[in-house]
Amino acid sequence: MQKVLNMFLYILKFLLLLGSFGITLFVILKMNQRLDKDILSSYAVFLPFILLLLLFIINIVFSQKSVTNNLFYNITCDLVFLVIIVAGLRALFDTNMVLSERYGYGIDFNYFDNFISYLKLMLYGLCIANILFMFHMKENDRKRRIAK
Amino acid sequence: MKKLLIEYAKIFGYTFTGLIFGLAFFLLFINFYHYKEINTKIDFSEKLSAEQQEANQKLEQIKNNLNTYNQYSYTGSENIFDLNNMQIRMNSCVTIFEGEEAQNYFKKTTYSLKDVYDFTMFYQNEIYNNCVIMQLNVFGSDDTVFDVGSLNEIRPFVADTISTLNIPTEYIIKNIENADMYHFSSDNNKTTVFNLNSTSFNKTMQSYQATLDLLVDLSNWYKNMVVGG
Repeated sequence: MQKVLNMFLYILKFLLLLGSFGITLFVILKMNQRLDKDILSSYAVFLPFILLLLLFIINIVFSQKSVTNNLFYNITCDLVFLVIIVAGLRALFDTNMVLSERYGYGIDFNYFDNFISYLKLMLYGLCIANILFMFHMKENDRKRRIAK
Repeated sequence: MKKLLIEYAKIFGYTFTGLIFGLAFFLLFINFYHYKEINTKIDFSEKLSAEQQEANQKLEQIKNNLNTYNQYSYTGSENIFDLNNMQIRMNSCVTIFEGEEAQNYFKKTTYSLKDVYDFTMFYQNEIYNNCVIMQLNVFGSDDTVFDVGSLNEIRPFVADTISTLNIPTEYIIKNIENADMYHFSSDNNKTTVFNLNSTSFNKTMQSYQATLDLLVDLSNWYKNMVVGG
């Protein structure tokens, strides 16, 4: 049961990563368009997404089961990406927020801009946690310890 | 040693994940709460009908006062061009107050925070900027073009009243715009959006009525000047 749940959360993690990245990219693109800024000037927002994706790829390539099979880590990843999507959707569609229509763009940039610091904090935190979970005892060492 | 370090890495890994889990959960719930909070609508129907009645009475009084002057039948000593100018200025304010947009705000029964914001913006742009500043400010200004002696007596009163009208609405607009963001709790933002909605509406309505009061006083002064002349 736990294996099935873990597998579900693991796959969902990638889908939500894609969704949260897409929604962030869309809002930031519109934000930069409004400010007449180059998208490259906002690289700092996308850096943690790219880092996290790289770490996920490393996890797959080196089949690091201590990370991929970590249920708590997978739940947290899903939750973080879900929060980013919720914040993005609110910035786009929650018309009850007064600044959403204030400047005629239909997006509450002010709200999303305030959320970016949380976004970075959570994603960098996930990166650090991922790296820390990479360190684990090899199966042989573990068996040797148990035999002793 | 290696085993100890690995154990520590694991502990820190779980600590980080736990902290992020907590933060993410907090953000998810506060977003949900914030969404619900700014969607809250308050029923002002009783208050609005009383306010509308009061506003209509004042508007009626202003119109009656202004209609006492007719340039063709006026036989007083004041400059008729100045009197015409004053009448046109005050009448344009009456048009704003009687306009469809102003009346729509009285027809609404429930107000969300965004409705209060729109009402305050309407007051700021249409009533304060277009009526008070563009039309009535000249009555309180020192470099006025009007050559009417008794204007000097009411000028300080008009200037003082105008200077106090804009302060609450500017603050209300900023305050409601800030309600778009949720913050970690502080003494300053512990008041809920529900209270913000209600107090902002009441304050804007007070400014609305205060502007009408100013217009009533000016029209009374105008009538006395015309009839007296």
